[in-house]
Amino acid sequence: MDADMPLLDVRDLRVTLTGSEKDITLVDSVSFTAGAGEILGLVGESGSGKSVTALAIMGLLDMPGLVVSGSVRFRGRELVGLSQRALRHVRGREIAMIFQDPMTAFTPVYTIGWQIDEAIRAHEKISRRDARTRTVKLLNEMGVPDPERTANRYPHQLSGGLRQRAMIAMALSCNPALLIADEPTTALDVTVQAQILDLLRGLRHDYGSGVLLITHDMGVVAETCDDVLVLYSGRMAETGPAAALFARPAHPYTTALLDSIPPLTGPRPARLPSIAGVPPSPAARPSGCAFAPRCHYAHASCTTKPPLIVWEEQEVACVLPTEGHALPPRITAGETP
Amino acid sequence: MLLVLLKRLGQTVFVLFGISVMVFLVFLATPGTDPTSRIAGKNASPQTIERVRHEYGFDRPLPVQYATMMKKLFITQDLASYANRGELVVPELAKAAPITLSLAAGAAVIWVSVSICMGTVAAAFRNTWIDRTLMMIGLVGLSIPVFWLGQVANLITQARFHDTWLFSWVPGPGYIPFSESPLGWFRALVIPWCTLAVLFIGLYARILRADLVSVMDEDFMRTARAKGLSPLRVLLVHGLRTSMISFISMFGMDFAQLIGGGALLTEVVFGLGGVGRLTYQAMGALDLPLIMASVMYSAVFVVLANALVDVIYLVLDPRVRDGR
Amino acid sequence: MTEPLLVARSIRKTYRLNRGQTLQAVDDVSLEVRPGEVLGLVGESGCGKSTLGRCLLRLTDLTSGELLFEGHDISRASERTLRPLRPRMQMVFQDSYASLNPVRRIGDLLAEPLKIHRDVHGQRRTRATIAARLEELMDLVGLPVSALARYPHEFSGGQRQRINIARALALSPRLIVADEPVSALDVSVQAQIVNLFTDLKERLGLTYVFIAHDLAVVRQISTRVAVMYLGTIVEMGETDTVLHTPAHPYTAALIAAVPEPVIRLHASRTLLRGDVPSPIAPPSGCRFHTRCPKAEARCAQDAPTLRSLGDERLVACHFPIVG
Repeated sequence: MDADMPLLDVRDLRVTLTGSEKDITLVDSVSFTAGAGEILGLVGESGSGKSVTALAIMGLLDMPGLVVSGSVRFRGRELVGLSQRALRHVRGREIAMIFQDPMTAFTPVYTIGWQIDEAIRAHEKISRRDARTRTVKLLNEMGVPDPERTANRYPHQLSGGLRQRAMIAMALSCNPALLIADEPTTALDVTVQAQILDLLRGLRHDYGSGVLLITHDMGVVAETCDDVLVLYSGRMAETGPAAALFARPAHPYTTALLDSIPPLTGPRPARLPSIAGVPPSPAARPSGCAFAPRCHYAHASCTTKPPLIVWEEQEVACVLPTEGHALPPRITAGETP
Repeated sequence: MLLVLLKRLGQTVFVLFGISVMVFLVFLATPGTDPTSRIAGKNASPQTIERVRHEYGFDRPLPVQYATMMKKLFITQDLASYANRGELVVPELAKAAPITLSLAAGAAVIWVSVSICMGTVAAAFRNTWIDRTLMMIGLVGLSIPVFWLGQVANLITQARFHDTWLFSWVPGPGYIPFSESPLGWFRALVIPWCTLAVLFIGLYARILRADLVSVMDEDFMRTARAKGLSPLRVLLVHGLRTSMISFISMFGMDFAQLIGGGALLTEVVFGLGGVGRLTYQAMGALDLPLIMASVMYSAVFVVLANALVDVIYLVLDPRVRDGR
Repeated sequence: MTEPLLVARSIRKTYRLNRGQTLQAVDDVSLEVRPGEVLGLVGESGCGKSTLGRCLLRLTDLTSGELLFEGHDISRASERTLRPLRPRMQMVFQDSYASLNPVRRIGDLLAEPLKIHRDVHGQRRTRATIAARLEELMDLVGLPVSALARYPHEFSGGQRQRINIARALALSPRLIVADEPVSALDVSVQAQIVNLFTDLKERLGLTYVFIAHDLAVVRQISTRVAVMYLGTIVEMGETDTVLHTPAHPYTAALIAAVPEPVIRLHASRTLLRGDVPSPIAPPSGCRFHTRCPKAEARCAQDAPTLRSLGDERLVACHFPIVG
């Protein structure tokens, strides 16, 4: 394996829903790479295609009518078009996934420990007893108190935070190289969210795993991710290192998204800068720049789909920088000099 | 868990008591009718009526009447039918009950296992021709009247092809007790079992398929797939167990009503002297003690079957165990 | 100072669960809502903020305590006596879809309260007044008049929340209790609805009790804030005072836990341990002591009561953060 080959290399990923009168492109030419030990944030609002992207990488989009094209290379191996049988050996063992709502993500009729044992035994030939030993060890490492007893409890008997810790333990049970976390903290209270994000940040040191963190919360991205990819209506809006993107967002959507979050420190604006309208559904996506109808800076050249251009440290799908009107750096109240 | 079970048992006993009181009131304490003459039957002599009145305590207060009746039903078991020349009712029921129980239990084994297979396969291949074919077969089974199917089965196995190698093993209509010959018991009942099961297979397969298909969209099914489990394991281990709730509820109801006399048509067609047929005959003869006893008997079974279903829930779903 | 619009004194709401367990959803809460202010209620799941909101409007019966609305004691008032007051106190819920009947047109949904309740002169409203009022409402919440002829499923989440707000406004209330009205919305839409709440308050002179788990949203809209933990208020005061210089360790921890969209070089903070305990068996003494970084032996025994720290702020803590 090549040393500097990225862990995950997604090129021109496209997910199309066929069958109805018109094909609907849910994910439109999304490309990104994720490295080992890195946390990449995939941000977007509802309908941005962020969860669909994750499911496409896992090969879990096999409903009739859904067509996945493009390339997803994991450690150099192409996953798009791989048989379900072959994908099964990748899933859980090399790429693991955790989901938003830990209550519904566990099968309600089996104990937590049983389900983690099952994940281990699906990929390794080891005895029940050894699997349970590993399960208890993992739960302990994830900060679950009294792991032996917790392993024998049912999902509904645990709190949301504990369930999500157990879910992460299950995802890490076969030491995957990549962990996809789909809104892992959205269903949790903010104090518990902080703990779980801390846990995710620790993973790259303790396990060397790469993490693909899918979220709608720019705050979560800022506190957790090394790199960011902002999606809007199934397309890439902007991507780059988190530090650069938060300091100087280049896409008007990124800026607007950041501005519409009420600040927790500094002066309170009388009104929040908001984006008019709603994100378009993939079926009603405008033909040019998808954000143009809601953009303050929309002009004639926005009627054609903007290409992704390199600007400073980022890549951005907007014509403003090339036209010499790059957005100014962001002023934030809580910034440390 | 034990506590929940005991609580459920207590409830069952309480419900049974309530039903016995209801049955008693409806049959014997309906205002404006004289229970004595109803028990004694049509054209009973004054002596008979006097004997009945004394025997059942109809000249005494209601609670005593109730106690006498329950004693006759459950303890001394000497409740006698006057319409049928003093035949004792309880032994008659005791003779019919194993026949009905054998019929219903065997049919249940067939319909539960076949419908689980059909429903699961249909759900696994949902929206394909396999799914559609299976559901169509189920629908056909559901729409065939049981007496017609029974008659056709009889025609084929008893008359038309009885002398060929295919059906020569089928005994004539009627029941062979298990204690007498297990093989004979099986041979005598296998055709009725299948006939009765056909009615239920289609319905149960459809219910299970619908529940399985809806459970497939659940988050935990996606988690199970994301773990790298095989589709078969995801479906059977994670899907099936969580989607059995309506299946089991319906089973409890249907099985109880079959035991309580609901298999009448099948019993008649195949000449089986079960509870259904007994009750039917009692109705025709206005044999009040027999009717009352069989109503009591079927109520007991409905309640017990419901209790059993609740226990199955407890075993299958830990959330029920915790009272959530 | 003007007379408070709503006064709650020691209100409690206890739910009886099976197996003889009880859940103290709201435990001895006292507060005032002054005319024209926005009181933000914040807290994590199970803190009782939604139940408190329903108690304040008497949408549920109180277990004990006293509740005054515009000076009328409504703590034990019957539904019949409450009815003339209902138009002046309204509620907006989180789930914008579930609270709209899917088979009825928006116009019919909004006209319903106008048909049921009589106007200020005790008269039934005419068809024409209702129609005029509906157009006015659409204008207030920023929807086109054509929306009246459409069905709930034809709208996006943000638009449906506008419809819910319009319904709450229909009878010109003085007080609106909004329970997590923006938490199900996308960030860009959430800002629009928060602004709408602010605008409506200015235009119509409304008073809000704004319930949310998102501190930043609460800060944006509220003049005063009450922080709740396991059924009790732990800190209450002016928004800026409470959120900039929190006195209760829980408030401080809650603020510290909010992820902000700013890259911090030294992202170190003290994290609270564990989850919120179950409200069925809350800890003894101060309910926060099991997770509190400053807890001492005393905290496990006596429950602190709300007291003033000199400024207009109340805090329920034996060892508040000062300075």
